[in-house]
Amino acid sequence: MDELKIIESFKSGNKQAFGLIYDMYIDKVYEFIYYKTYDREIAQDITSDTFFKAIKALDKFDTTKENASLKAWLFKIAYNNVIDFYKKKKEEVGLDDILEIGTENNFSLDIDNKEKLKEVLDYLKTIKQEHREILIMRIWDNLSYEQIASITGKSEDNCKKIVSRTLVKINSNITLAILVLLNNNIF
Amino acid sequence: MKREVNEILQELYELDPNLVEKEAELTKIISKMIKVKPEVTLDKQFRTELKQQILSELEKQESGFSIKNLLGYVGIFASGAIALALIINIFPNIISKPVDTIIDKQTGNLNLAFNTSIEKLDSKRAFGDLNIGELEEGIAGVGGGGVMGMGGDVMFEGSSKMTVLPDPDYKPKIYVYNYKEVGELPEISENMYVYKKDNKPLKISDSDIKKIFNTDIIDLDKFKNLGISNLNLYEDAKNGYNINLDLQVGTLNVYRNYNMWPQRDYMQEKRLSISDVPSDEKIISIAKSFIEKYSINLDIYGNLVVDDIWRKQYENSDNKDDYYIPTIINVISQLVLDDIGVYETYGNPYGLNTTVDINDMQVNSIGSIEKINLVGSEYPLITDKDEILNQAKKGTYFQNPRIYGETKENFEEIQVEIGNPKLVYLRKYTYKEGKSEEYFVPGLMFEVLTPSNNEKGIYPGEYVTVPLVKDFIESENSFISEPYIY
Repeated sequence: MDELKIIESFKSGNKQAFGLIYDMYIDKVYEFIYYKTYDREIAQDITSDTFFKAIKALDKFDTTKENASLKAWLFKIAYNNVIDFYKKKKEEVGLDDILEIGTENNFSLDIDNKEKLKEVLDYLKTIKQEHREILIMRIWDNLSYEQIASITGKSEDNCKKIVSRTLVKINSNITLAILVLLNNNIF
Repeated sequence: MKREVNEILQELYELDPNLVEKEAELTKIISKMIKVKPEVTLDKQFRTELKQQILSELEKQESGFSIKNLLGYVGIFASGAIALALIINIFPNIISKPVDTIIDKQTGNLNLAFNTSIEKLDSKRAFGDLNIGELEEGIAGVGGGGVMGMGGDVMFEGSSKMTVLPDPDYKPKIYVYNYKEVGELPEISENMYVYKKDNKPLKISDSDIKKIFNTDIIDLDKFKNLGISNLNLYEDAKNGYNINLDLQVGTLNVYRNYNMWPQRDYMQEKRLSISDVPSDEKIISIAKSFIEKYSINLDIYGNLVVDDIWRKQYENSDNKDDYYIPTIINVISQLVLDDIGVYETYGNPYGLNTTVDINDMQVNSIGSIEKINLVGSEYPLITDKDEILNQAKKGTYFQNPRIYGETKENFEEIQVEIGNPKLVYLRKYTYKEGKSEEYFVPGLMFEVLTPSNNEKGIYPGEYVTVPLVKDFIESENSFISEPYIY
């Protein structure tokens, strides 16, 4: 399905076409936000805010731009909303803080994923925040480097280097501990 | 998972081929990371409710209504012991009563009369210079500008300049419109009028408001010079509608009160195919029945016509199976002035829009029903064919980005063929001292023949429109010289 055509339809006045965009991206956007908050209610609030901002801004989306990506555009709104959320909470922006918050129960970790999340978070905490976010965007969110670059404002090459270095670092420094955990099926 | 891991690895090898030596370890780490990805399931009820809220908000935006407006009035109407000794006559007055909105002293009714008037002045250039003004620069930037800082797009540097962000792979498209002559241009009378919309707000006085609203929750008498900007009414009945009246602008919109309609599970709804779309006649008959039922006056509007822009896009699409068939179809009753149809500058007919939901074959909304008061005056027009065509070659105003300090080599030039034009009225704005004024001005509308919209990512628009009023041409050209690149 050509999402750019849907956007043009929206821009030409068929506002209800947004329903299709919503169906296409609601799960992905929610997941993207969830991986940065690990809290269902917060993720729902930010998801809602993201889509309301999207309907206000979609008329400005330039479909003529080469490689125009609605997915990256939506995720960028979501990314900024997550940052805004934590700024409002007067917390320093970053997953480090989110992880600390989660473990200190200032926010309730999603109960269904609690055990699994705790192990994952303990693991991820060992990686530099900025690198971890980009690694998650590539491996969990399945975003292309072009899309990650668009969302984070970094170059594609830089994003690739970060993923590469992070994986190598994991391999050289903490592989043993992690693999012991993984092989024991703790996750 | 294997394909996913390989894809990630190949990307990394492109960056550093030496990583191949660590393939086994990297594969293990990436695989495990994928494996420990938390399971995330979005709550079904949340998903459905959010979608309904968003579609409802979009519907309200289309009809000039917003949640913020509604909340403002909920605050007033929900405030306890309010005695509303108020009878509001809306629809009948749209056609019958030739007075502005005031409380009728004898009946106590609030009369909301949408009287239409068109006055033609003898004096020429009665509205002074028609200059698009400084503000439209900003508006143009909205149409042609960037999206939230995404790389390579055209962005404003300030209020009057744009620049290109440093993305070497991105080449903005510039459209060059070539006229294909297949006949004569329509005859343009120099005596055509420029019409200015001269709607006065439907004002309800401070004293009348204080008589109407009698509440013990706050002392309204302490507020000075109260006014009412919007009235929001709802129909508390099965398949009911909301009515929004904007007293400042003089518009009325009707749209579904979704709380009173069957809730739909959008996730389960089948996508429409072209064969599901009823005939234009059927859609028009639904719109017409609604208009007649509520006695909406169409005297200044033309015949009901189905808006078929989506169908043109469908016909032009490479893969018709993938094309999204809209569930809401718009039926336009175009405003007609001096037997000439009025259009938006981007080519859509301007007038009353009645939308029909083809899922349940009922009217979704109608709006904006306008209080139209027009004053006409003659202005000098361009009638010279070469001058008109020279203007048409630039495309519709701001079709192309305005870019400073760049050369044509940095742009992809798209040749577009346009055919014979028709004479129209165009809806235009001027901006003076921070206020906008709305005009309907004589113009020509050229149909874009080739390429089709969205063909290979090319979007030249469906039409090129040229206002014929010299004031507009001169002020627009003062912003666009040579013709796109500064």
